Amino acid sequence: MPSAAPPTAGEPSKPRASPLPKDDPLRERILVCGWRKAGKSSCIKTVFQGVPTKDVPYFGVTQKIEKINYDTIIPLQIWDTPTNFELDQLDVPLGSFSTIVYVMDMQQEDMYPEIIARFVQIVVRAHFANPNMKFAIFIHKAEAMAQDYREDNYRQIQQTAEDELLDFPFHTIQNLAPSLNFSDPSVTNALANDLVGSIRYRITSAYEANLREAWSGVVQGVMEMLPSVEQLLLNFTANCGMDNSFLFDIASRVIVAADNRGKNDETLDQVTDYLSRFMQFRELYKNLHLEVDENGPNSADGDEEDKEEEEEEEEYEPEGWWDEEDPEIPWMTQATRLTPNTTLALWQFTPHLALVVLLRTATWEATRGMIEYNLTFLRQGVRRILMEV
Amino acid sequence: MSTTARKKVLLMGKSGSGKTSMRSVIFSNYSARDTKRLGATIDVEQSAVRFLGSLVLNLWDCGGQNNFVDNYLTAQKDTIFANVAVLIYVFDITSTEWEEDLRYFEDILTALRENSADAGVWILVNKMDLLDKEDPKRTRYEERRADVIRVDERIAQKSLGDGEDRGRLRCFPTSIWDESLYKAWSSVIHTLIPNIGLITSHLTYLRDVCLAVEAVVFEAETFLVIAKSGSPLDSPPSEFDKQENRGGASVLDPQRFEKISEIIKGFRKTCQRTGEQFLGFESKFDECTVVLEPMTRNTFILIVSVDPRVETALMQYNIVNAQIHLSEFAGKIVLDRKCGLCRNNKELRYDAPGDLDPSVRAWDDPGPYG
Ligand SMILES: Nc1nc2c(ncn2[C@@H]2O[C@H](COP(=O)(O)OP(=O)(O)O)[C@@H](O)[C@H]2O)c(=O)[nH]1
Ligand SMILES: Nc1nc2c(ncn2[C@@H]2O[C@H](COP(=O)(O)OP(=O)(O)O)[C@@H](O)[C@H]2O)c(=O)[nH]1
Ligand SMILES: [Mg+2]
Ligand SMILES: [Mg+2]
Repeated sequence: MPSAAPPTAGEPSKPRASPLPKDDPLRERILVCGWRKAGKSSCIKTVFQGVPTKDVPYFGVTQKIEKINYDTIIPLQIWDTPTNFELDQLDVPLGSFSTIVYVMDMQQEDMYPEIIARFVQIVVRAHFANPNMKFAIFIHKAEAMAQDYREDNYRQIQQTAEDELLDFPFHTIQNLAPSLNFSDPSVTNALANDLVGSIRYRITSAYEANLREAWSGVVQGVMEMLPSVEQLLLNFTANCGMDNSFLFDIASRVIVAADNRGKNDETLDQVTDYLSRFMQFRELYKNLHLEVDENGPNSADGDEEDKEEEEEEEEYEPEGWWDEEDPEIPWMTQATRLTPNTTLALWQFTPHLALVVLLRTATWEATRGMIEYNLTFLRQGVRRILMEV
Repeated sequence: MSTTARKKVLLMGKSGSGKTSMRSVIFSNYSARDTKRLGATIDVEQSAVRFLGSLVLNLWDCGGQNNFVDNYLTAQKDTIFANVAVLIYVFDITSTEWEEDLRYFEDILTALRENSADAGVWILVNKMDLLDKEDPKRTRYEERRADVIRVDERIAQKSLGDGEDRGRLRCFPTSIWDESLYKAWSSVIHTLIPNIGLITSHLTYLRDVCLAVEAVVFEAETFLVIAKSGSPLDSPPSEFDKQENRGGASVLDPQRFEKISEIIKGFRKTCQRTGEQFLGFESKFDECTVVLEPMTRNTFILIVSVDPRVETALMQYNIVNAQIHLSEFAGKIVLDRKCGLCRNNKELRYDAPGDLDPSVRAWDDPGPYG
């Protein structure tokens, strides 16, 4: 058991920006913890707060719990934890989290046993707080390591964690689960195997696309609607003769759903890089707009009034992401041709999401109209699923 | 007949200042990270880079260890410093031997002025990324710049001529880790390109028929910006033309072209891993309609419009129509496609058959349906 700090130590972090219901209960909570300097803040900030990787070496030490609200396909609240964090310091029930991400430094090989033992204790405790809790280990700072070295370490970490769980002295925590008989080996074995199966291992680096993939796994893990979105993507991809399609969260470049056919690391790198470069490009021109003639229809004032009204309404009615949409603004689209074969194309679906597809240039040129026609149905389908949850 | 212009570009500066790194990032598609593997340059490495078909840069990357510098200044002096179009001199902002660095520079600049008085001089103060955290206001850079300008003026006074034809000296802070490198090199290239006026007037025409805010040409390999429509590169908003003002160009980032160079080159590198090459894109976002397409064999064109009537297909159609004519500037010494923009130009001889015959359509004639 982690040493029990007095419950008073858990003081609430940042004061809430606003007391509106927009906040906590609707958000999926994700707890990020791990050894000091493992890279927890880097994993969060570079993906969800747009911090450039070149700033990674300059982060200060996290002093207290920080809650990062992030709106994507589902609203998330990611908790970054300070050095010496203990589960008892939380000011909310541990069971209110849906996922625990444990970040560890792949380069600290001599510390693996302690680091993993700590992780296993967290897993066991969190499981009894929320039996559906999902666990992910980010085996971080991998960029310095050669491929076979990475794989060796990955296997070693996975093996150590499994052994540790299978040997766990469950009888010491009988009080957490009075209804189970932990002196019966068949009970504890089943439990340990259950826990082994609830852990996902991911190799990550702040400097590589795999960090976004790891988060993609975490986000997809808490998306109830994932299977239906995946099915829509799969149908669309197959019907239109595409190679792959990916539904991205635009700002974080995390894939929230994909058709999951024959994807490989190069393709993932390529589509992720494609999206980032396009967003960088868009940044350069997005503020351009026609200067309205003095004599022409001047709609500027009208717009502002509209906005004020919208803002006022916000306070009274619960809002969905679709309320933020300005129906006047057309969706972003982009198509990049490569030679000899491939075209990459993007269509925005919601303020936060965009579809990126990879297809043969010949297919694109021959059936573009059909693809765009089918796309309107896919977009509607995805939007309908999202509005229902 | 060939119209190729060969320009000699000297790349000098102390060993380790980043000369070979720059050359590799700009001309060989290295990433900044890749340059850590570069070996030291021994003696002079010459390379020829073809630009726009009609311009070849002879790039002399001069080693830069001390004994080589001495050698440049004595035995090889005439070979090295004769017929130079541009000297690019690279300083390392982190250098702890500034006095000495400056003395070398003075020797080199003196030798250059004796042999190629009218050469342009670009001072690149490099590795700015290493100092920006501790010196965000760039006071060190300003000091270095002032020192360099003093040296230039001292040499100018010493020389007997009145200095009328003395090439200009320009100073840029650079880092291979960001777009500042592209900015400095674009500035070099821009002064060397032949027919720049002709390219610009055609870009402006193309921009206007596309109801666009800007039309910009990039060199295909380096993705350095070559020319843009309307006001010259680096103009302040007060000098923008009517079309630029109408499109609200004053909100645009003045560094955007360097950033585009970096974006496209970075993406190209990613695509190499899957064995594909970047060919162009089209896009609509916010109020913008944008295409980036190959223009001639050695260039790409970017057109950005905010006019709601414009579709990418219109832009692509106009680009296709302009392609053959714009290729003429690089490949021929006599223009022979009928073109109202070229008729009175001062840069290339214009001798289009049927120029006076109204039944022959000019390239830029919109025709009865235009
Ligand atoms: N090599 C490498 N270092 C990293 C990576 N991510 C973070 N770091 C470094 O690890 C140290 C601790 O990072 P930080 O995110 O503050 O860790 P935290 O204490 O777990 O929040 C910093 O010096 C970072 O520069 C990575 O992916 N690779
Ligand atoms: N941080 C930083 N390093 C640079 C920069 N330019 C070059 N370098 C590094 O400086 C070292 C020497 O560069 P090199 O091009 O061989 O210098 P040269 O002797 O002038 O050709 C290489 O390790 C480069 O990675 C820069 O702008 N910033
Ligand atoms: Mg931290
Ligand atoms: Mg060198």
